[in-house]
Amino acid sequence: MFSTKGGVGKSTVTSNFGSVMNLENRKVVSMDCDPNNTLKYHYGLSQSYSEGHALLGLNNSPISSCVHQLSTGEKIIPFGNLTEAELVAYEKKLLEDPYFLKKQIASLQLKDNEILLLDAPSGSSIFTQQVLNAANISVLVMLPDAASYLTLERSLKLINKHCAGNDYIGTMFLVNQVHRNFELNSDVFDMLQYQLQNHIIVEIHQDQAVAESLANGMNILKYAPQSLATEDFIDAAQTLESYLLGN
Amino acid sequence: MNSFTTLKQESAKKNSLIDNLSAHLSTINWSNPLIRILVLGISSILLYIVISFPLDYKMQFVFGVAFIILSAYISKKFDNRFAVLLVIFMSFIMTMRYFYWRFTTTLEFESSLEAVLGYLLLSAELYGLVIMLLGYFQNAWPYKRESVPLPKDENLWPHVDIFVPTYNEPLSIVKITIVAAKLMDWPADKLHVYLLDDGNRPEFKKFASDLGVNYIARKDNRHAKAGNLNNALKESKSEFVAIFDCDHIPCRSFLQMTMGLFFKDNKLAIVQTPHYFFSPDPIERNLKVHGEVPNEGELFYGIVQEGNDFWNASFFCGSCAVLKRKPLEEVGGVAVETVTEDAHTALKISRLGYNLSYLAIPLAAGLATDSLFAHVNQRIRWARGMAQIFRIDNPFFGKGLKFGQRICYSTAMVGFFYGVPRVLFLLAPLAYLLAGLQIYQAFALTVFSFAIPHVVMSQIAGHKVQAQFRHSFWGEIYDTLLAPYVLLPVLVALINPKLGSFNVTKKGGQTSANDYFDLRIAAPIIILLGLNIFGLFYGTIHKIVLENGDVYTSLLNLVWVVFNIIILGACVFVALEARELRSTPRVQMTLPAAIYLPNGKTIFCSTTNFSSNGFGLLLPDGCNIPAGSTLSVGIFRGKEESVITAKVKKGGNELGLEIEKISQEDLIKLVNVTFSRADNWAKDWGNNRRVSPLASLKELMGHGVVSPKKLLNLRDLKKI
Repeated sequence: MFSTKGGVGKSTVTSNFGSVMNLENRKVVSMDCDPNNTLKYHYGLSQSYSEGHALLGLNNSPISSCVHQLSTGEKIIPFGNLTEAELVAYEKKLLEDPYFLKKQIASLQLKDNEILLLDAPSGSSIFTQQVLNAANISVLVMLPDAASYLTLERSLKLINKHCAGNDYIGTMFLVNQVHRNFELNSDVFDMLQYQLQNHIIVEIHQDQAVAESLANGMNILKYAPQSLATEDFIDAAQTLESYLLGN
Repeated sequence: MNSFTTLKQESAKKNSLIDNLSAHLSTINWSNPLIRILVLGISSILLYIVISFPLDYKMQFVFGVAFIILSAYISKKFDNRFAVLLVIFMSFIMTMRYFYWRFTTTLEFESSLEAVLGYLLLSAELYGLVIMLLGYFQNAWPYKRESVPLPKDENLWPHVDIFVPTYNEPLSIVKITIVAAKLMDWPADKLHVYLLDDGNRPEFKKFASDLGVNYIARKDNRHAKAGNLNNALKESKSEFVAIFDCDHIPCRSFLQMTMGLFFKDNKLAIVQTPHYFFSPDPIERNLKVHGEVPNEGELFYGIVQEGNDFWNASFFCGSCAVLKRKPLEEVGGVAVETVTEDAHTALKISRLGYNLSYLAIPLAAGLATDSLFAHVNQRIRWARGMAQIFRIDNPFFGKGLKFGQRICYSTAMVGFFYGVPRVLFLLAPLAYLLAGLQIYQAFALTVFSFAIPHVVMSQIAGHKVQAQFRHSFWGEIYDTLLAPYVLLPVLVALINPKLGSFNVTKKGGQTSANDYFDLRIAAPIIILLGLNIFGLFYGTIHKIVLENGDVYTSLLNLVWVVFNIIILGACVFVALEARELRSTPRVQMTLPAAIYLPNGKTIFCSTTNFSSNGFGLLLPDGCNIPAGSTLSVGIFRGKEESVITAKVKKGGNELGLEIEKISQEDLIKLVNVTFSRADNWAKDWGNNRRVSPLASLKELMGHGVVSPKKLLNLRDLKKI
């Protein structure tokens, strides 16, 4: 999951995709690739939980030791808490080897039926590039607003540049927080749909239950099973699966 | 040699026999008139022998029962055209035996009064015979026409004008039809929608201009709908004209499915499609049998029109049809001389040698008449119009028609003359039970032995021909109810076709908020029912208990009276108008939907039905929303979403909402996903459950006065 613009809900999308796929009895691992290290909150981990893959990577250790399994069966790999100096060093390492993350992931020795969800930070930093270099499938998360629309071209360029490998399967476009009652929101979404008409594009409606579920430390499927957002996430995850993942 | 090979050899022998026979038959030159006359002559003689062969009542009864069992077996066991023809033929034999016997032995009357009444009854029976034979001819071989694909090159597709005439119907109904007409799959530059407003209403004009469709109003309303259409013909110019009543909502594929036929046949003038009704007609509604028992329309469009189509006589029914402009203009536009302008126009076009066709796919749906009063008025108009055509432009005479066309057109017209015969049947048994008049001179058991096979076999044959679209005996309700009303208009129209005025069938009005009893309509039926019930009691006591008459003759007439009571009883219940709150067309449709609550949360749910001004929502289990709240609801169709603001009229888990605000754009989207969906109506078409004649009679009895449950529920009735 990536976006060139911040605050679009990548972590929410990552964790909810994880929940849906987990419910479908798929084996899912979510990996936070954002130095802000916030994905863990979506999985109910506390602030004091400091382990993560970045530090292990920095020390050239295998990262499998920091995979945390939840009671639901889902697995999460947090980014981990790094000091400023450690972060600079880690960034440097990433700059030296554009495929560093990919190698790290390979060291996890995931099975064919395991899905790894990578949550990239916003923007087109080295972290995002690493994620895109490692990904087989990318999901561009957007909001139906002017900023997302204006950055779409840059995002597409980023995909073209980094997702060109033979093992790359495809891209899905996800528009988050759609609300048809708001004219601008609705119009921008229509424009995005028009621009991306030959692509796989899904929508998640604006729904207060999404924010509330995070505050309550639950995923939306459990928190508000009857909400439209739940339906949307299921729909979006299944679109991803049926178009890009196969069986 | 084992038995298996013996069997095989035997069947081979049999096959070779059949092969030999068919080989011999195929060597005969059937086009030789001499051979035809010879075969026809021999068959006629054989048929005459079978029909006239004298049998005493016991033997006739055995013969009749054997025929009944055989034809019931054939009817049940085999489902092909030959079986249908065979069952029809067997019914024909039994009926002809009955009438042969009836003419030769039952007409010696003792008094002139009995003679007059007796011949009246006989002529009523002869009317039934004529209708039956015409019906067999008409329906024996329904033509299953299929849609013809259009040429690939869209440049070849012609321009089409869509006419939607309206007079006094509310905009909420007309709106949907117009939007749906505009949404039809056809090149936009070749589709010209015309709203023809005989009501000359400013809000209609505004609606049309907002939507970008043509609007035509007239200064006067001369010739009503026909005049309205003719006026529009003058102001438009496309090669084809499709006509929809303002409450017949076409689905998107209408032109795609119909127009191809015109490319195949250059002489084709009309393509008619069924009138499909998503609301129950008053008879269905009042008996609460909608969707259970096929209605009148389904019989007509399911079987009769296909039967007509075989003979190139499937006539225009005023709506849901495409007409070619040239032939229409050649006959001077839509006919104005009679009140059934549609059938008359088709007849005129037929006379010029053009072809007609009927495509049995429901591609538009509309409202049935919503009150019994309106229904009766509509049928009176049809009956009067048909009688007018019969009188001034009789299809049996005049030039241009083929024999089959003459028969089919006549059947359509004569079929409406049932008023007098029907009333005679309802009164005939009383002549004996009340007055002791012998208007039917025969030994009762002989009557049974001839009449029962005749009646039963005609029911079996009718069932075989129409099972999919009509349940046995239910037609009697429609005919009986209307008989007292069509009787006079038909007679008047036959005497002077110019008398009588045109009345627009009112649709989409609100029926009363309470059940009520329509005494205006029920009065004649109640009188007839009262007479029959009186006849039943008087006859039982006077003739049977007090032994004043022949037991068998009394029983015969009592059985007859009981059948009348069942039918009349059901008719009385039809006049009990059921409460109907909705005033607009409504279609059942499940689409995903979401409610956007004021607190920013949402509920994912689904729609249950739609009308032009409301819809139903089914919430997830446990969710409830009170009545009175105003909701913002999103309705989805694939990637598209329409947002509607609606007020909750009925709260709870299953909501009923009334639309308060919808943008034109959203209305178009909504009509697109609901009313104009191409697969809407076709799936229900002809999928009626089939019911055997006996089961059907039993169900029918449950609706008559013999149903105690219904009688107990008769309280709280309001008379109007």
